[in-house]
Parts: sequence; structure tokens; C-alpha cells
Amino acid sequence: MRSHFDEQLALLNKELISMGVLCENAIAMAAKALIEGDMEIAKNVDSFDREIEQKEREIEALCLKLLLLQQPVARDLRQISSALKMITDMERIGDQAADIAEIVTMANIKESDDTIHIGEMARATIKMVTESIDAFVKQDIKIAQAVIDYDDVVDALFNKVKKALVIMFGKSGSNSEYALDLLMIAKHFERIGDHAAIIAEWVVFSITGNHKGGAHL
Amino acid sequence: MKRKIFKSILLTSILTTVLCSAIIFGILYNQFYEVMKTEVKKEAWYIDAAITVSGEQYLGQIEKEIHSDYNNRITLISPDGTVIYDNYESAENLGNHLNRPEVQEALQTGSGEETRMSSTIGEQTYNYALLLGSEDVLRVSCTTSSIFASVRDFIPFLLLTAALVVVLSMYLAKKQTASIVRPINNLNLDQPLSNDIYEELAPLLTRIERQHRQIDDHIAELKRKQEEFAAITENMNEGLILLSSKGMVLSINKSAADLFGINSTKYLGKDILTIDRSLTLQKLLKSAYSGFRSEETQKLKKGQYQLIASPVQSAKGVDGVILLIIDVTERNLSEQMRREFTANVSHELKTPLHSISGCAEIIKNGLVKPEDLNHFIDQIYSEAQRLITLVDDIICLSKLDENNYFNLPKERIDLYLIAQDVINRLQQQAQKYQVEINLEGSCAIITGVAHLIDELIYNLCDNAIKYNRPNGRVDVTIKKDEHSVTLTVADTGIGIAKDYQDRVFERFFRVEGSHSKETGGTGLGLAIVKHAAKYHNTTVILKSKEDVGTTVNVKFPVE
Repeated sequence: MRSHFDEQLALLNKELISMGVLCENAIAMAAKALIEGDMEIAKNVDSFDREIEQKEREIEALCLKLLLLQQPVARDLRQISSALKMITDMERIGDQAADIAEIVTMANIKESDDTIHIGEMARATIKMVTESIDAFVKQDIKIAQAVIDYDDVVDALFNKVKKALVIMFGKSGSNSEYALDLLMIAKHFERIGDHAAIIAEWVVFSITGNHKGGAHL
Repeated sequence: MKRKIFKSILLTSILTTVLCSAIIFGILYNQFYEVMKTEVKKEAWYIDAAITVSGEQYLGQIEKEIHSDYNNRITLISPDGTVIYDNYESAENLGNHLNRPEVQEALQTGSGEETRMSSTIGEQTYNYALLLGSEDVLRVSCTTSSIFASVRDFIPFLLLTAALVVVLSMYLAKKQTASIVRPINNLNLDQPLSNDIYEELAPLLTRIERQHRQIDDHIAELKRKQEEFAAITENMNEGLILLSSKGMVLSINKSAADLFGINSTKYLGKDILTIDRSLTLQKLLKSAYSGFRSEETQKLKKGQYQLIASPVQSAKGVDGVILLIIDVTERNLSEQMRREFTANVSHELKTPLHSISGCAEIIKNGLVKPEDLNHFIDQIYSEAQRLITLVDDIICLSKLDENNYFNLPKERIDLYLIAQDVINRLQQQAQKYQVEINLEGSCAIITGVAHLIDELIYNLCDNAIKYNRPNGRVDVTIKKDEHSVTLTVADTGIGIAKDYQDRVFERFFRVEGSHSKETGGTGLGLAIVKHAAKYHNTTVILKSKEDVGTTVNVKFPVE
């Protein structure tokens, strides 16, 4: 009985990692499409998003099945409940990546200008997502904490991008629609950073039982 | 065990009790019955004697005196069977007794006896009849319980005994079991033969001992195999990861652990995804788990790696996957070099051929004035020469590439002599470029292939002369110490820019501006130098400063 449960938990773990990998790839591809202006890559992001949604449903079903049939307690319960929370944020990351890719294709954006810092922001966000998945895979509180702290860096970068875009607006003859699109993309990146931080918080919870928001188990 | 012992004890006890009781009871009953019969007979004889003395009124007296305690029935019967007297009932109520067997027997033989079961079964009556002197028959009867009734009376005691036996058996069984089992539980199974308890256990202990030895052998064998496997895989250059059917890491060797930058023991039994979660690997494993061997090239830490996932199949399906990681960085690089080399060779060969073909065509079409003909023929000749040099160089290089020179025996050669020979051959060219060429040093014996060393020195000196300036110098020095002989070729030429210094040894690499026709050359000279040096287990050290000159050092070890 217990060994079956352990097998199911291992499966859950595996599925979560593969969902994380899909998220990593979705965001990395969205960023690549943005910086290189590659429309083919941008179109692929959508298929990743759909795959992520599919994975979310599968993991959700698995979690509910485990909760109902095994009635787990303590660490097992934490692991399953935090998995349920994490997949929501992962799914949101997929959505946001798809949104970025959509803006890139619709407005035909290619942005490699360093003064706007959007490339830097994309790299910082990818780092956060990758490391939050890393923290989960390695069950490492230190990495998780670093991700949570790194959210401030992404927020600061968002402000930098915003300021750069304001200056861009000010210049005569600038393309205001383009600037607005970039602002939206930056906002998406900023949100992805938030989701990554939340994932990291749930990683901490699943290990220690303490959640930043106040939940204890 | 307890139950079994209990059962056998109980069965034995009950059987013993019942059998003993039956035998004792039977013997005692018989004895008692015989005693009773004798008593009755004696009584009859006493009464006979008393009647003979006192007459028949004696019977009435007995009744009066001892009636209450008197147990036996006494009956006096006349010869015609009429009852004269009975101490139990009045004589008138009793019928004729003539046909009673004991009476009949007494009348005929003087005495008779008979045992009669009573109608109520529970009792039996013993009758003894005696013929008196008065011709009357005296009968004494004694009624006792029958054997069945006695047994019936005995049953409660028997049951009580049985209950006692059961309780006792249980207690004994418990005790006995404990005392039997205790030493068995305390057996030292690590050394079965050292135990000295029941001899009945000896075969079992011997078998355990044998199995112990077998298990030890198996473990040792497995350990040895595992060590062998580990020794082989740990020293492999290729990364090797074995995965279970569920994707768990069963074994990961040192190379693979280094490649992924992990501690190999920490990841045993964990999912492969925790080590690397790239999509490439996932795709690879997915196809391997569906039973297909597949491979992909992926960039890992130190370069390009080829990942090969091969399923381990059995009748049940895929039992696991072997993941092999091979470093293909150099292979890819050399493949690229080979491709470039081919492209360069074709290009280099084509240029002089075009020139030859062009000149020949013009001559053929008669467009050349007779006085210009020599010029064109010169051109064709020099291009053909260039082509020959080029092809020679390529052949030399490709031989070096294929290590064909391994067949050439290394011999003791004098570096100084070879250098002198080369310089003599180049003297004319040096004069043409207005360069002075000098050789310093003395006889220096090394082990090598004379032909290759000749090529090496020739190419170095040739370059030193060609890329020199008028009135420049080329100094060839041969120095020797205990362990090595150093060949130095220094010039006062144009030098090589720092950026190109690493690249001049590449095939067909020409420093910008050196393509000019006057210097000729194939771009293969230094490549040949490098390979020749490599063949002699040494390297070429090049130091150069633009507009100052170039110094090349080759240090040969002396064996």
C-alpha cells in the first residue's frame, strides 16, 4: 500500500519537473523570439502553453486522487498540497509566455536595444523560473530563498524599463504603440517573476511546513 | 508445536487412563464376584449345618435376629418345588420353583448354581441351591450390581480424571514446548555447527551451514562483479548512466557525474530529471522507453556531446535504459577542419590549373606573338612547378595525418649535418632575397626520421628567407645539453602579428599580404613543421614581433 503511494508520489514529482521544464522552455523561447524577432519561435510558444495546461490538468487529477484515496498526512500532505498550488503558478507562467509571444508576433517586435533593458529583464526572469524549478528538483531551501529575494531585482528592472520607455515616448517621432507593447511585455515578465517567487515559497513550505503567507502545517 | 505436543500428551494420557481403568475394573470385578459366590456357598453350608442341628425353625430365628442387616435371600423349597420358606416374601405368594435351573441341578447332583440377570439390567442375582438331608432344597441368592451398572457408576470419576488429565497435559505441553524451543531460539545461526543441542537438529544445522557458505560465495561473487563493473565504468571517458524502468538512476559513472556537475552517490535512486531536465534528454528517453534506440547531440558544460539512449529490452517490455554520453567536441572540430581542408585544397589546386589552362588556351588559339611565347611557357612551367610543390606538400601532410611515418624507423641522426645540408640547398634562394644565412653549433645526435627533420628545417628556413627583408639575416643555431637538443631558427624579417601567431600552423593559413606571388609557397609549410615536430614528440615554440623578426624553437629530447 505504502509502496504504491510512494510510487505515486514519485510520479507526481516527475510530472511536476516536466511541467517546470515546459515552463522554462516556454519563457526562454518567448524571450528569444522577442530579442531575435524570430516569428517561428514565437508561434511555437503557444503549443508549449497548451501542453502546460494539459499537464496542469493531469497533475491536478493525480493530486486529488492521492488526497482522496491515500489521505496523506504531514510531509506527504504538504508535498501534494504545495504541488496543487505550484501548478497554478506554472500554468500562469505558460500563459504569460504565450501572451508575450503573441504580442511579439502581432506587432512584429524585435527588441535588442540594451538601453531599454528588456533583454536584461527577460534574462533575469528566465533565471528566476529556472532556479525556482531547480529549488524544487533539489529540494533546496537556499535556492528557493534566493529566488524569492531575486524578485526585487526583476521589479527594479521593470521600473528601469518603464523609465526608458517614458523617455522613448518623449522623443519626437517615436512609435508610441511599439513602446506600449514593450511595456506590456515587461509587465508580463514582471508577473512571471512573481509567479516564480510564489513557486519558490511553496517549495519552502513543502520542505519546512512554514509558508511566507502564514500557513503552518 | 505446542498444540501438537499437547494433543499427543492428552491422547496418550486418556488412552492410558481408560485402558488401565478398564483392566483394573475388570480384574477387580471378577475377583469380587468370585468372593461373593464363595460367601454365598459358605452361607448355604452353614445354614445346612444349622438346620441339621436345630431343625427348620432355625430359619425363622435367623429372620428374627438379623433380619435388618441380612442381605442374602434364603429360600427353602420342598422336593416338589413348593416354597416352604422365604425371608423376603411370604411363601404362599411364591410360585413353584421346581423348574429353576439351580433347583433342578441341586435335586440331581446335590448342589446347583446359576447367575440371572435381573429384568432391570442394573442388577444380577447369583443363586446357589443345596440339597438338604430332609430332601428339601435350600437356596441362597445374592443380588449385586451388574458389571454395566458398576461401569456406569464409575463414569463420573472417569470424567473427573479425564478433566484433570487435560489440564495437566496442557500445562505439561506448555512447559515441554518452552523447554524444547528455548535452545532452538537461542541457536547461533551465524555459526550453525558450533551449536550443541539436539542431535536431531544436526542435519538442519548442516544444511544451514551449507547455505551460509553458498550465500557468502554469492555475495562475494556479486561484490566482485560490481567492483569489476565499477572499475570499468569509473575509468571510462564516456559518461554512462543506467536507468531503471521507472527512470530512476541505478548507476552513474564518474565521467557522467563530472559532466553534469553532480555528486554521483547523491543522485542514486533519484529520477534522471533531477540531474538534467533538458527537453532533448526527455525526448531521447521517451523514445528509448518506447523501445527505440536514439541519439542526439547536445551542448553540455565543456562542449558538444552525443547522447545515446538505448533501451534494455526483455519479454516484459523495457526493463531500463542505458544512457551513453560521448564527447564529440573534437570529432566535430576535426570534421570541420577536414571540410575546410578539402575546400582549401580544391581552391589552391584550381588556381594554378586555371592559369595553366588560360595560357595554353591563348597559345592554342594563336593569339600569342612568337616573341611573347617564352613568357607564356615560363608562366605555364612555374604554375606547374607550384602545383607539384603543392601536391608534394599535401601528400607529405596526409602521410603524417595517417601516421604512415610510423612505418619509418627512427634512427640516430645528426641534426647539425642535416641543417648544413638544408642551408647549402637554400644558399641560392637566400642570395636571391639578399639574405645572409648562418649555421651555428656542432654535431648533435638525436633519434628521428631524417627525411622529416629535413622537411622541418627546410620549411622553417625557407619561411625565414622568404618573409625577410633585403640585407636581413637568418641564424640557425643548434644547442645541446644533457637532455635535449634545441634547434633555433631566428630571422630579422617582417614578423607575424600577434593575432596570427596561433594560426600560422593551420593548413592553408596565410598571413594577410603573404599571398603575393613572389613568395610562392603553399600555406602548408608550417603545418608540416608542426606535424613533423609532433611525430618526434616535441612542439614548436614560435616567438615573433612585427617588423623585428621571428624566432622558432624546436627542442628534441635526447634518449
